[in-house]
Amino acid sequence: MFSLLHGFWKYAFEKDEYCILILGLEKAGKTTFLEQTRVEYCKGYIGVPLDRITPTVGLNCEKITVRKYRYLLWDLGGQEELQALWESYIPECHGLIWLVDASDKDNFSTSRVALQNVLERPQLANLPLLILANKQDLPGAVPASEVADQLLQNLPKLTGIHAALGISAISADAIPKGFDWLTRAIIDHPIKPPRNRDTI
Amino acid sequence: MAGLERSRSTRPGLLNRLATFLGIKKKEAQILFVGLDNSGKSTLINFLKPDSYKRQEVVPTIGYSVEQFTAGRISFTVFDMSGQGKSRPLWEHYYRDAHAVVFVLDSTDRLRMEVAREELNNLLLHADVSTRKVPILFLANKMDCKDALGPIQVSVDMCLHEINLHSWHICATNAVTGEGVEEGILWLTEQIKHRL
Repeated sequence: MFSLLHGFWKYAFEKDEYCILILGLEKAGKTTFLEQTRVEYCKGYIGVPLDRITPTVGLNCEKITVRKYRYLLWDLGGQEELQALWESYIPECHGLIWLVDASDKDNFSTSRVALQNVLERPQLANLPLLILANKQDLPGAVPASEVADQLLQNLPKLTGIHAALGISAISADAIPKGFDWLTRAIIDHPIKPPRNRDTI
Repeated sequence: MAGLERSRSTRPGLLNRLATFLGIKKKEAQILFVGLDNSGKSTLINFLKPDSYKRQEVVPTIGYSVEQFTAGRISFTVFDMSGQGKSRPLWEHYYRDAHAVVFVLDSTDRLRMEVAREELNNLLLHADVSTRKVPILFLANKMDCKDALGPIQVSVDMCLHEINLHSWHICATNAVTGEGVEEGILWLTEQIKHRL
C-alpha cells in the first residue's frame, strides 16, 4: 500500500531532473552566469556581489526549477589543468552550455579546440549544445552567430541540435531565453532519460 | 585543549532574537573541520583566530575543540575534529548542524591519500550530508613542503570529480604562514552567506 501511494506521489509530483554542464575557457564568465541564473530562478536568493567571484577551482553546483523541470547545473573551472576534471561529468549530463568571451577574438581558436575536444566524447553525441557569446555589453563584442560560426567550423561530427545566443552575464537579461531553448531542446529531443532522483 | 573549549548555548534567547531582528547581531555559521591526523586542521584554525587568542604551540587534538572567530561579518563557530583513526567516527555527529565542511589534506602524504579518500566517501554517503547542500572546501595543506602535490593532482587523487551534488573548491594552503587560507574562506563565506 505504501509503495502504491509512494508511486502515485512520485508520478504526480516528481519533476524530471536533468544535468547541465557549463563549460568554457577560464574568464569566460561561467560562474557569473551561474550566479545570475541562481538569482533569476531561486526565490529569495540575493546573490554574491559579482566583483567578488573568484576563479573556480572545483565545482559550483546549483539546482534550479524552470517551469516543471529541474536542472542540476554544474559549473566547472575552465583553467587548462582543470579541464581534466570535465571528463567525469560528461557521461551524466543531458545538455551542454559553452560560454565564450565574445569580446576577446584571440580566444576563439583556443576555445574551439577545447570545445572540439569535449565534443569528441561519444556520450555527448546528439545532446543539445548551447553556445553563449558572453560579454555582449563590452565594446567590440562579436555577435553570437559569428562566434558560433568560428567555433563550429571544421566540425563535421556535430549531430545534436545547437544554438547560439548573445548574452551579458552581468545584466542577465537573456538568461531565461537560453533556458527556454535548452528546455525545449531537451524535451523535444529526448535522448537520455531524466536522472532518477532515487539514485542520488 | 581536550573537549569543549568555549561552549555556547545553541538555543536563541529573546535578546538574541531581538538583536538578530535589529541586524546588530552577526550571522553565525557552523563549520566543521575534518581531515586525517597531522594534516594541519588546528594550525589552520589557529591562523584564523585573532592574534590575542593565538596559541604558540599546536598539539594533536583529542576529541574535538570548538573555536570562534569572525570573518567577513560572519561569526564562525568552528568544530575542530580530531583526525586520529579512533576519533573519526565522531565526525558524523556534527554533520547535521554544519553549514559547510572543510576537509584538510596533507598534500605531502601520498600514502594516506587513499585513507583520506575513504573518509571523504564516508562523509559523502552519510545521510546528513547527501540529502543537503553542503559546500565542501578542500585545503591541500603543506604546500610549502618540497614534495607537496599540486591542488589539481590532489583533486585527481582524491577523485573529487565524483562529487556532483555539492559545490566544492580546492586551494593549496600553508597553515603556518596562512597562505591561501584567506581565498578558501572567502569562497566558503560566499557559498553559505545567503543560507544563514
